Amino acid sequence: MNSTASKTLLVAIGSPHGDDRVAWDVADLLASRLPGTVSTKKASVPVNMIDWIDGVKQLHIIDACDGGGQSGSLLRCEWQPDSSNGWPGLERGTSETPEASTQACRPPRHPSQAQSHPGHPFNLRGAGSHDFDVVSVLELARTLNRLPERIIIWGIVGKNFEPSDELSSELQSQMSAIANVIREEVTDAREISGAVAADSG
Amino acid sequence: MTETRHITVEALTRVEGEGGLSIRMNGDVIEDVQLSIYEPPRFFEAFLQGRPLEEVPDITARICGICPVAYQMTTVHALEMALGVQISPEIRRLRRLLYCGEWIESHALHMHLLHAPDFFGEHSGIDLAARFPDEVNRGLRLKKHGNELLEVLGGRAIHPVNVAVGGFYRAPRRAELQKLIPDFEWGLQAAIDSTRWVAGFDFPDFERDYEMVALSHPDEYPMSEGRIVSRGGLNIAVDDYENHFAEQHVRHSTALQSGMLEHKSDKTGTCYHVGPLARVNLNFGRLSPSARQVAEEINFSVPCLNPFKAIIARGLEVIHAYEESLEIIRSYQPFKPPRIAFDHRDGEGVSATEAPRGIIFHRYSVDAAGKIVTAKIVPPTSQNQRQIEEDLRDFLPSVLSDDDKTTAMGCERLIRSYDPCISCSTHFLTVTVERT
Repeated sequence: MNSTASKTLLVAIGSPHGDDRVAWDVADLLASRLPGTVSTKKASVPVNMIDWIDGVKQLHIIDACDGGGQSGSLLRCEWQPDSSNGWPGLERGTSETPEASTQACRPPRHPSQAQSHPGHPFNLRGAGSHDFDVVSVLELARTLNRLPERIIIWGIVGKNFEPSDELSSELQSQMSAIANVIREEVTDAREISGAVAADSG
Repeated sequence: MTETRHITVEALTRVEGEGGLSIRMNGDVIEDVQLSIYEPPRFFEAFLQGRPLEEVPDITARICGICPVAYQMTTVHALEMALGVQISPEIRRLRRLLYCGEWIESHALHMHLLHAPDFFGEHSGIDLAARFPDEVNRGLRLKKHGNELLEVLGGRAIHPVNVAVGGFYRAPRRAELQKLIPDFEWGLQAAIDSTRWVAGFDFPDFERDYEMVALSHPDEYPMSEGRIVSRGGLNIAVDDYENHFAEQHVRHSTALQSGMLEHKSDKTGTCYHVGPLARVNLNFGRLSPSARQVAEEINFSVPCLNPFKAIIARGLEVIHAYEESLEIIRSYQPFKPPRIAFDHRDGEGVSATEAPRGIIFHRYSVDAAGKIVTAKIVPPTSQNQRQIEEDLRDFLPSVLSDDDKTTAMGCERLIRSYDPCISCSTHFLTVTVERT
């Protein structure tokens, strides 16, 4: 993993359990394909994100979720703080894969999460006694004036989240396409290998 | 007449787990208090059977995303006992350093963001951050140091993969650890400041004559080795644990509850208290010099029997962990071999170590092919569960006359002081009061 001194940070949150590891695997796929200006980090709990966000302008968060579409779908939300209602809202993004659904999705193994942050289309990772969920970590960062300028949250819909599960075949087959979609947005288009500069010959 | 009160409290986000608290009353008398929790390690006990023993540290680390080191350390020590492996002093010191990282990370988070809000009537760590941004930022920086240490020793930020039966897959380079020194020097002072801060909180006037249980070692503050001792005079070797402690199923919880057995025919036992407050009470003299000095300065003396003051015990342990980390890092030299070789054999081994929230016990039997035959994992929360129920039984009369919200908040504060790890999270505690 490279340093977080760069302006863009990609944080993959997961666990080793079944489809909950998909964000880590996508990060592994992306690690060698991203320019030096993009840092990647893996986290097992969302609150660790706050260790790395100082100096970051653009933060991408990848996490698994269940519900909200077919397994292997990629969902995207952009965090848009709205101080007027006290809670920042997450605007529903566009579907990035043909199978993607824009329905609300629930976090794996944390079905009551939706009660914590009603109205958010993404409810990814739940909170615990030693942890904050993704939304709360962003709220904490905002309270402490440490929030990056732009935050994009990617949800990858999975279905197997038990400790003994392997990554599902649907996610395995979608992995490369998912990584490409995220890479295109994370990476400045001019830095993608093979891109043709507009002013070139 | 039966009256049922359902109290929904989102603040229990700060206690991990599906926590259901049921209270049965007869008039003004509390007849029963039941805390139900879900506990994941039992799945892993079955999952481990038949697995190569070399895989076990990696698998048990997955039980908890916050305290993987506790599970790993207990695993490797138990398996090494089964295999007859003697680790070197260098490996032992490096393991203590790893444990220090986990204590710093876990305690700093719990103190500043999970427990401290209770003392100011704040709903969450976010609200507390708005009121005390400097203190919360300081706590987050301490937590970060713990994670960085885990990353250097464990091989990566997510659950450590460098821990092996027999030692480490790779010993860190001296420079990797040396670069942490400036941050850890700052962290030691910051931990002292944080402990002074929490010591000034307004603590409920509540004490119980606890039977506290912790590891104890003649030469060091207990982390990964020692005898099991108690306030009541228990003093046993770890391999005698199952003769003095037993687990039982209770109908209201998926977690097994541990009890301390009073005699050989006792099958259920009595409640006991594990965790930082027990450790400090039973090992005060072996805290680092700075931790003892701060304790004296803030008038913290043992025995301390107020469970809410566990936040101070955590602070003292963070100071200790920083001081011991600095000592180990400054004197560290790379060593060989980082891992002691071993042969497979039939055997059985046990180990108890001190997870951030209390004693954790493992027992494994292995066969000559190096496969796990049986596994037993007793996490700290299952040991504290009955104690929490007993505490609530005593504590409830002081809050039951309040409205539902206040009653539940009072219960939560007490539960949260144990920093329970109940896994699968929920966002409300349902308190059911049956009155007859």
